[in-house]
Amino acid sequence: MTGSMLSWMLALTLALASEDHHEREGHEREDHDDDEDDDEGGGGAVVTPATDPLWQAECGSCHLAYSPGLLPARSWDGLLSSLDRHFGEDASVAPEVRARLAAIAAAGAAERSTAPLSKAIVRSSIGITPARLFDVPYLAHEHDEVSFRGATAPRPSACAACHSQAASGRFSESEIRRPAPVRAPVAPVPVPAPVPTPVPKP
Amino acid sequence: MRWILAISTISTAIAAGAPPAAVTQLLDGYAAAGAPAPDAARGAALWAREFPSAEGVRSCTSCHPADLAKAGRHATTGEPIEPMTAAGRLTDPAKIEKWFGRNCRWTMGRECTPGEKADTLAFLVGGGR
Repeated sequence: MTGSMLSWMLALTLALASEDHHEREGHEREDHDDDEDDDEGGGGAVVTPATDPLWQAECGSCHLAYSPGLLPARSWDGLLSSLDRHFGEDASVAPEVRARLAAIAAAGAAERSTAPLSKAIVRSSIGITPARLFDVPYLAHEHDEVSFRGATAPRPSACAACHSQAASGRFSESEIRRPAPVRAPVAPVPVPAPVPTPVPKP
Repeated sequence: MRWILAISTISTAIAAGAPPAAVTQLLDGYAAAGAPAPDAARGAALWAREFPSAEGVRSCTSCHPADLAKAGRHATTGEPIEPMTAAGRLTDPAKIEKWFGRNCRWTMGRECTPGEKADTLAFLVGGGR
């Protein structure tokens, strides 16, 4: 058995152990959430927070260290495979760091979590691979009245600008730190009439 | 001239205290790769130099202020960046190399040469003075 195989197995064991831990946390949170009304009240807007120190350090140096439970595993695969082209930034890491981040992402991805917000994200992402959080239709819908334009508006990546407990994985409306800047009403764009497809003549 | 440069580099280092071991280790590596003697003044000029890119002009100061004692701000995410003189900076060779890699490519569109990295480190350990 080679050294790299051994270290890989160790990483897998750690990842599975951490997953088990996350699952239990998720159950506790969900049990607690049963007392709440529903997602609209924000009680269900909870993910298991990112706690791994490596994840925190590597992902958190330029933006919130998003919980792995905010995106499906296939999204994380794509993100972690293209860190050298990360939304216009070079966020590349050493291969061994990338492998550890991938293990953390795989273990905590939305479909591996029982946290309510993760489950909502999984349901909303069927058939698509969201590359960013607002590619998840549910999250886009929840923010469709928020303006991210203008010098003082928060960047879409800066969850914590409004969600005071984002770092703890809590995104409920009751914990929004300031009124979200509301987008000015936009006149509905007229939908062009469908162009009939020409039927080829035999 | 070489002597004056050497003396000014040494006195800058003394003013800021001895450079962290990580910096010494990296500077040795850059010298072995052909870098000339590190020059803080050249590092300062590089820090302020502007590079055209498709997304507009970029420089080190796009994110880190020219005053190294001041906090910066990530040009894209707006996330605060600790001052370059903050305690604990420049103590981990792998971390320094990681950020040289990312930030040289982002700013200049290419890797930094060993000489450019050596000059930048000399500038940073001197605290910009």
